Amino acid sequence: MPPLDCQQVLEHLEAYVDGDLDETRAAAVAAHLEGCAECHADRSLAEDVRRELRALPALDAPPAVLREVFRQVGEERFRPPPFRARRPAWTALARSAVAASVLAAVVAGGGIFLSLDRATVEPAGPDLAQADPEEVARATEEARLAFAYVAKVSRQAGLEVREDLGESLAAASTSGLTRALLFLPQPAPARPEDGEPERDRS
Amino acid sequence: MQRRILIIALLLSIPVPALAADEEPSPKDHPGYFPLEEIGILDEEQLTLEVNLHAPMLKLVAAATRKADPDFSQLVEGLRSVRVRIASLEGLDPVRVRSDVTRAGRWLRERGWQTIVRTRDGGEQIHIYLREIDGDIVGLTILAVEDGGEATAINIAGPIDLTRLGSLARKLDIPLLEEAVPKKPTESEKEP
Amino acid sequence: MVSGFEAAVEDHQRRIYTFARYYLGNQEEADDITQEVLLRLWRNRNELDDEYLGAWLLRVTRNACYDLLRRRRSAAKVFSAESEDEVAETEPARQPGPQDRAEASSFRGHLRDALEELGEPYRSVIILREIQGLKYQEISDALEMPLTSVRVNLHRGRKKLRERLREVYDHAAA
Repeated sequence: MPPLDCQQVLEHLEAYVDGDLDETRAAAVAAHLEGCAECHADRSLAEDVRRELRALPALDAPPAVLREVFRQVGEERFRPPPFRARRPAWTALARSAVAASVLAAVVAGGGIFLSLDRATVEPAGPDLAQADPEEVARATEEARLAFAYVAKVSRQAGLEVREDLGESLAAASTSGLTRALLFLPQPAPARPEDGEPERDRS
Repeated sequence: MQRRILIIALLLSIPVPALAADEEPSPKDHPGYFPLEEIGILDEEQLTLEVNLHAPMLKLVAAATRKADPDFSQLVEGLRSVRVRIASLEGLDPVRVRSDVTRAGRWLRERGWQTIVRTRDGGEQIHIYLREIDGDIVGLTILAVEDGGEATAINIAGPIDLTRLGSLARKLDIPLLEEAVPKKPTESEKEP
Repeated sequence: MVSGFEAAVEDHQRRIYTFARYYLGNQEEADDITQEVLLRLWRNRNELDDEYLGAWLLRVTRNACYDLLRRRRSAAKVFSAESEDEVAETEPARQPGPQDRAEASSFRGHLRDALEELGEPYRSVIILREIQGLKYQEISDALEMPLTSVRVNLHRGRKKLRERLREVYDHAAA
């Protein structure tokens, strides 16, 4: 190995100090250090850094912190965390969109469901003829997409998507988990949650 | 990783049900309803796909597809709502993700939903719940979560004909799904 | 069972607190983070595997510290124009105490300052390895970092510390 220059040595100093360099390279570094005061000083610094870091003490959490933790834990044992209550942000947005569409519907002479002064209940059957075909087409696509996802996830869960998927699900729901196993190709060990009965493998 | 954002016509599909909801019972009161938006990890900002369909529009969909696809039409006909949220979990702490999923499950079980499927396979969890009243299935909720990938949540409220759902699922256009969603990038190499 | 939790706290509090304290350089913030992490441990106790508990706790601690730094940095941005450097390279926020004043002009003081200026992933790796003495595998598990990267980042991090200290001393000598 050709002799190393200062920059190369400085690159490898930490590894050298840790003994992580292979023999050849370590020897080359050592050789350079012998003849170079600057790098020799850096090597001392590298060793000091390591030594001082290792000398820093581990620290215990202040007792007050732990006391507070246990206090809160004590409270929470009897009060399960609530579901995060949030108003869906789109509600406000939708209402203004509704207002806009009400206007549009009335102006266009359509207004299947809507009138300016009050919300009308939709007629007994939806009036497909008066609905915006684009909207309906989009909604149809969305509905298909939703069911496609149902199918996809069911497959991923190992449920065979068969004609009797429906039957299997129905059976599972009314007679407990035992029969659910009929359509799971492999056992799927799941971690039991609070209060959740362990899967019956009989 | 960039994902194509596919936010489907949120505004367009809302107006009808939101106003009609003044007269119709609120979809949220339906026993099969589950508030997907309250699951923290399905925050608006992280959504890559959202579907929000309610009864009036679903009736229109049913009417529009009655001739061409009667099975689909009948399945959709009586539904109160069909909702989907898909969110990216990139950068989210998997612990928090698991915690949100657990709480959702608890919420459902406290309200009488039954767990039908709960699997965990590597970094992927899938939970499927059904709400049943007097022998009828009135709600289906699915939560699928992939560590570092995405979370999919589906809630269908209304009388669900599971047999029809099953047969539909079997012949559903899976290509439809593959077109709509960008291909998953290959898994980054796992560390030794 | 609370007693199981108490045992876990006993076993892990030192590791959590030590990491947070050296990472943030600030006792109050370290107290807050430690409390937050332990409460999360409680809330997730049924979901967690004993085997990975240590790694999980460190990861959660580190992420919480990082987030806090990011918030601290955003707050600082409001009051000053800063360049888009890596989040963790912020001004150290140590509260000076009597020991600190003695330390301040010492090598150790400068070293701790330099550590708090260090970016990620170096800061985490150095604290875990040099201060807390974790094995490479433990660090790899906690930070979800390949083993080889742990070593490389350790060396690079210490190199940065050395260079920074060299600057400080050269400047002092000048």
